[in-house]
Parts: sequence; structure tokens; C-alpha cells
Amino acid sequence: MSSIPDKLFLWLCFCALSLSLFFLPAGVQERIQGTVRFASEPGKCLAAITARMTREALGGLPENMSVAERDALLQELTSARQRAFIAEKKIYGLQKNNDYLQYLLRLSKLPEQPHVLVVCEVIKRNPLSDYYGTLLINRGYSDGLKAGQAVRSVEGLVGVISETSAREAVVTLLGSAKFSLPGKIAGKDIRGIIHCPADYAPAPAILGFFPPEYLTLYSLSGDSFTSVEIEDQVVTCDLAGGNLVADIPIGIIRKIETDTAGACRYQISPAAALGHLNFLLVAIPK
Amino acid sequence: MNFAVKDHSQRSLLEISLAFNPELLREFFFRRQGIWRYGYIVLADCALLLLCCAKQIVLPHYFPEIPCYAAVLLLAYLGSRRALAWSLLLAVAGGILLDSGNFLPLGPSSLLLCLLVYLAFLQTGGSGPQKHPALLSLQQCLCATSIFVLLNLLFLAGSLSWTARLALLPRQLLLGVLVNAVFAGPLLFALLDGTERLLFGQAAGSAGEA
Repeated sequence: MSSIPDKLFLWLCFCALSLSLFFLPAGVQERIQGTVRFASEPGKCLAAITARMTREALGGLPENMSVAERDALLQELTSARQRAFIAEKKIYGLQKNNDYLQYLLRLSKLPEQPHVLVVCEVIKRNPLSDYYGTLLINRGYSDGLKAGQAVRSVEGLVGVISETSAREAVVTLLGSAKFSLPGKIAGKDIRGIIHCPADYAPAPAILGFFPPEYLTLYSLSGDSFTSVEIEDQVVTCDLAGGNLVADIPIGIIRKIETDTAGACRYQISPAAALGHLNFLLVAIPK
Repeated sequence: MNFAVKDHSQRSLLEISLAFNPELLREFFFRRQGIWRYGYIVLADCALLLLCCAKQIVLPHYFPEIPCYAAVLLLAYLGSRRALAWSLLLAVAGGILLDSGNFLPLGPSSLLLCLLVYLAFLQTGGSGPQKHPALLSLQQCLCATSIFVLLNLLFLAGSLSWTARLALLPRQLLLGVLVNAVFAGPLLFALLDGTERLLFGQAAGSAGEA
């Protein structure tokens, strides 16, 4: 029988093999991850089916929803999406007419970028870390999703897509320390960068942890800083390029500050809650 | 059957002699404890690893309040029942599965699972049947689950503050240990041992048999 030092050497060899995975180039890692995710799809489908059946047998879906409540929520989300779509279509029509009239009056203006909303289901949120930092949705680049696209709930923006695979995408939520986004104050010509603050407000250490209380809008550009008031709405802007749809509500201004350099800085209360997210909408620009 | 390598003066430099034992060969290829057992071990371990890793990735969405570490329990079982090399290989593969499914860089889960397998192997002692297999399985699951949770909270918890990590301990560690080590782990061990006993008609031994 092999002695303990032989087994220890064997274990050290496998630890070295595991450590070598850290040093693989990023492209090789992505290919391996893609292959492994493809190979594990049947297992994940079977696991999801059995887990869902068990959960329903034990009295409901996540967050203790019954089947009837889940159907009601789905219907509510679908009708909210339909209303949003109809309203946006109407606004789009009016905007097109407006653009045409402005063109006739030689006051041409770039039309707002139209977009479509894709309903996605939240399939994973890690309770061990980053519960309010990232989540996984069940659509990927095969459904037209790309990194940088806005993800919203009925109330407003909840995050931005950071990574996609064929059938899944990782969303960086408002509560992540890595979250940053260009934003503007609706109705006023002020744009800036929105960050989640690195230091959260002190919270009691009970089970779980809190989402961020506020976001910060700074690095401002514009010329009407004195016209900003409390409860002004902050929305997304397309400063970063074609993937982010503009005018999605992010939150409202709750406090106006001045930093040490004398520049204005605004605290924003997020419009969308990050607690119970089952279905989300991804705004894909056309 | 003899093979020999000779020099120019017909002296044997190297001699190889092969002997076939037909009884043992027949037993190996046509009895349940022979090649079929090895086939079952390879296929069953790979399938179970895939299923348990998938469960560990998917379950928090449906049961966010109950921490369940199926892959950790399976690898603790494999560390105590199989050869160390095979268990460690499955640990590396399981870590790659977990990291890929969780969209994490490759490596941390493999390293963690290798440690858990080795600890399970050491606790078994690498020798024959144990006096109290149920207690040993409980001990191994307890050790594996606790170390998995603690190392995850220490090194793989991203940008969580220390207060938030401590706040997660009661649910992830205490409840996780209760569910996994006390309830699910021994049940899994008994189920897999019973299946092997049913198929191959012998007691599932300790590490080194596969």
C-alpha cells in the first residue's frame, strides 16, 4: 500500500494542475468554459426540472409564490410589457412625425433610437456573494443580447449586461461595486457617470445584506447645474454607444452635494427594487 | 510466451516472459466484480458528478433559503470510497464544471474541491471497512461542508464586506451543515453504497479499491 507521502505528492500534483488553470490565457478559458457549459446543459436542464417540481410540490416557487400568484405576476408583466410597447410605438410614431416636420422646417434632429424589449427569466442569483451585484438571465447572444445593453424591470433600470453566452447572460446590477453607466437628468442638459458607491451606508448585520441605498451621479457635463432640483428624474443616455437604450428611468435625485473640488454630485435613489426579481426586460436597440 | 533480445554471440541481453491465467482473465471479463465494476464506477461517477454539479449551480434559484452543496458531498464520498488519483481527477473536473456554470474564472473551485477530497481520504485512513461507517460519513460531510463554506466566504465572496460575510455565516454554515452534513450527506453515502452492494454483491470498501 502506498505511503502517506506518496498520496501527499499525488495531491500536490493535482493542486498544481488546478493552479495551472489560473494561468490559462483568457481565450482558452472562454473556449473551455463554453465547451463545458454546452456539455453540462442536459444536467442543468434535468436539475432545473427536478428542482422546480420539488419546489412546486412543497408549496410554490421561489419567494413562496403559489402557481396562481406566479401566473398573475406573469400576466401583469406581460400586460405591462404590452402597454409599454404600445406607448413606445405611439411615441415612436409621434417622434417620426415630429422629425419629419422639423425636417420640413429645416430644424432636423436625429431620431431617437427605437428598441425592442425582450422578456428574460432570472435563473441564478448567488446567495453566497453578489446577491445584489450580479444575476444570470436565460437569454444570450443567440437572442440578440449583447454586452452593454440595459436591463430593466417595470419600475426602471436594474442593471446592464456584462457578459453573454449563447443562451445565458450575466447582468451587473445597480448594487455592484463595478456598476457604472452614463446617465442624464431628464429635461435638463446635464449628463454624467453613475456609480454605485463603494462604501455602503452602515447596515445592521442581520441575515442577508442590503442593496445599495443610493447611487452617485458625477463627472457632469452641461451648463444648467443650478436648475437641478430634488426629485428630478435621472435616465440612461446613449453616451457610450449603440448598445445602451436611452431614456430608461434609473432613479430620482434625493440629495445634491458638492465635492472637495467644488463640482456638483447628486445622490440618486434607484427606481427599481433589486429584491425579488423573477422576470426582467432587456432593451435591445434596433 | 517468451521474448528475448540477444547479441551477436546469442547471449540474452533482455528476456521477457508473459504468462496468461485463463481463470483470472475469464473472471475479470465475465464476472460482475471484474471489468463491469470498473465500467460502472467510471460511468456512474462521471454522471453523478455532472448531475451534482448541475444541482449545485441550479438549486439556489429554486431554494434560495436552503444551502445545498451536492457536488461537495459527492466528492467527499468519492474521496473516501475511491482511489485518490481518480477522486482528485474528478475534483478538478467538478471544479471546472462549477466555475463554468457560475461564470467564474477557472481554477478556484478545482483547488477547493481537491482539498476536500484529500481531507476525506485522510479521514478514511486508507484502510479497510470502518467500525462506524455512519459516523465517519457524518464527520466527512461535516468537514467538507464547513471547509467549503468558510473558504468560499474567505476567498471567493467577491466584493462583500466582512460584516456581510459574517452575516452569511449563520445560514450558510449552520443551516448548511445541518442540511448537508447531518441529513443529505449520510443519506447520499448510504444510497451509493447500497447501490454498489446491490449491483456487485460486496461491501463498498474504503479508498484504494477502484
